Amino acid sequence: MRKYGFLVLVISVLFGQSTIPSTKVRLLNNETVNLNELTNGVSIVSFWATWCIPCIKEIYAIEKLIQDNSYDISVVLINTDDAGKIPKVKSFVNSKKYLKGDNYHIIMDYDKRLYKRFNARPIPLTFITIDSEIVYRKRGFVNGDEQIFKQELDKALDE
Amino acid sequence: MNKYIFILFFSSLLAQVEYSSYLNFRYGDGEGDYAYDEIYSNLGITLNRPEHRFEASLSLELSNPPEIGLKEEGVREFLLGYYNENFSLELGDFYKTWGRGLILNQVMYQHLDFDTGARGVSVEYQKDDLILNVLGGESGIRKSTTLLGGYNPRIPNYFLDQNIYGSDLTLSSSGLIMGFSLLLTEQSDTDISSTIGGMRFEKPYNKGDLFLSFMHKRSERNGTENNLESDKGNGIYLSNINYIDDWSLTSNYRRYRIDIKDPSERDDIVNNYAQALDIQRSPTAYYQHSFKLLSRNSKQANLNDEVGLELELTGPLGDDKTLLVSYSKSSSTKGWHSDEFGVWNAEPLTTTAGNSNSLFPSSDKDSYPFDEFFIELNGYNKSGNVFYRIGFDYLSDTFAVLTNSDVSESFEVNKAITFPSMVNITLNDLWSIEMQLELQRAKKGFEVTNNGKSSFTSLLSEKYQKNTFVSLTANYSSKWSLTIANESTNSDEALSNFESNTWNSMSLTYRIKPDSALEVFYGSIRGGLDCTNGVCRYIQSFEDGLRIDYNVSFN
Repeated sequence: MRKYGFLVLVISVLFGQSTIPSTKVRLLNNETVNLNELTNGVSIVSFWATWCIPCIKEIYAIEKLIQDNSYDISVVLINTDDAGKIPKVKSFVNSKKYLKGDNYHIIMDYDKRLYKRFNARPIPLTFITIDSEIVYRKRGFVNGDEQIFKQELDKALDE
Repeated sequence: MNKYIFILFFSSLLAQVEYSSYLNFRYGDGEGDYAYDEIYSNLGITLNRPEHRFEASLSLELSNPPEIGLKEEGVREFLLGYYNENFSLELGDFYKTWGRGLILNQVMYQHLDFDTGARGVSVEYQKDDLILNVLGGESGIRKSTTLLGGYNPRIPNYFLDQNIYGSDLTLSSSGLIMGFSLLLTEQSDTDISSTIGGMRFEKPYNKGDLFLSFMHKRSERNGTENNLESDKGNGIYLSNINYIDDWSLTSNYRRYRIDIKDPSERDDIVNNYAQALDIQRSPTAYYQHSFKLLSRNSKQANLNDEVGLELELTGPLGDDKTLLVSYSKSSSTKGWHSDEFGVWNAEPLTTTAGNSNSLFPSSDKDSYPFDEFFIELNGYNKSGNVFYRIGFDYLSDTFAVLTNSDVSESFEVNKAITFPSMVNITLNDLWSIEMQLELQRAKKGFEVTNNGKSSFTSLLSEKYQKNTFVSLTANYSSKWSLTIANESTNSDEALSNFESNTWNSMSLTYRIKPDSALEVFYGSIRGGLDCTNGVCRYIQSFEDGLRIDYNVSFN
């Protein structure tokens, strides 16, 4: 019996998927939406904070990649600042024209529900998803990561 | 045959189950008794069914000892959750924030061993423009304090357990968002209870938004003669953003009068029963720095007695540059003057013109004035391969009022000027380098006036403390990263004359997989304050030792 249980577990782990959950989240403008509705098609999902410099560099690199390659993808930025920093997040977003675009979605996760669900510490933690299924996962950001993003996005868009 | 049916059935059921797990291993061994050995593991399981979702998560810790905090060998946290379109039920360790945190803002700053989560039940119902949250649980908070025996900066010696019960209702109507909250707390080992009520309003408009929040707190305890003592306090927080194209002008105002105490009792976290609770992390409106020397020089917020103002202007200069200008000012809500017998008396704040003032922070030394001006320019060059940040910071903080009578005045102050900078250059597809340079000149000590004669007594061996931090990082192929860092000072309050005033280190990081990395560090790290959002903790220096940090995610 034990060996069957082990076999079931192995099969489930091997074939189990990791997806963006269907859960209500709050956007920066206070609207409530379902998270996986934002990740239809190919998307980038990233955990970030205003004090996190690698996160800010990564957001810039993602935008440059989208511009240079005319990618039609959704970018979901899950903010992990404290609730008292909402004005800071708003002014940061307002200072970047592209963050106000329709393909960018800023989610406020100050009760850290998503942060804990995805073990996001340390940030940035970034996913590439296809129809909410996570196909690539990366932690941290250093120069050169944008080349890896490009490869993974091209692969995802070809599927 | 049955066994195959069994395998097929459970495999198909479990295939709908998602797993996520994360492992973090930390090891450190420095000179003296600074050693730690920690393993953190998180396991999450999610079962997705149409319109329903079940989640279970378990955090295990095996630390003996941890770098900071008490040793743990077992379950650190768990959470069982059920979620559907309108309803959620969470059982276990939850973290909630109502509004912007004036009444409830539970946080976990693991690097400071500051965790205000609660173990219990939280239920949330959401329908159209209404959100209702009801919760109940037990919160256990631990801190290190010099007010109790057995002080150790790495091991807590003060423990506070309390039961919390409360509800929060958020309503939206015609673009106005309103919130109403009520929170009750009872300390488990004493007869202290508190009731906190409040409301908030948020109104977005075409070119900005306005947020206003009030709270009122009443605390009670059984006195030494079994008489019921009570105390009241209140707080207000106002935030306004105005957008001028891509520029934003933000102003934050706060006035917290929750537990006003004279200078002799002001920092007593053990005996002031009416003080702000740790589960209330009200907005501090201080700038949260990411440069090393500035972060170490951050302001420790006093959420019991503080009036403050922050103005911030930020916006783009051209396509790829951002300018940020921030000014923060705060003080206590009363000035303090002592009589000939050393008895403290509270006085109204005064303006620089000498008028009485009860609404805005004062610059008078008797009211713990704090001022900070920070400016930063960051951005990219035209080809996008150079990212830079350059800034300037001026800080003046009177953090202790020691005496203030007609004949003698003595205040402990910290004044600093800092020039932080960093540049990150992508050399080619494989190599990039990052350099960071921070220079700081600080003046720390006592401003004393005796019978009209003023003098300054430095806490340090030099009149000015000169701090320098330099680091150089080389990244190769998104896989390897080598950092060499040096920090030095001409004088440090924590060191004796025989100890080194220089801290050198080297660290090598290898990214094993995109989401897994191994870091090996050798050298020394200077101690000092480590602050996050006004929560500060003294971190002792790590001298001449090895640290290993390995984190890995599975699925």
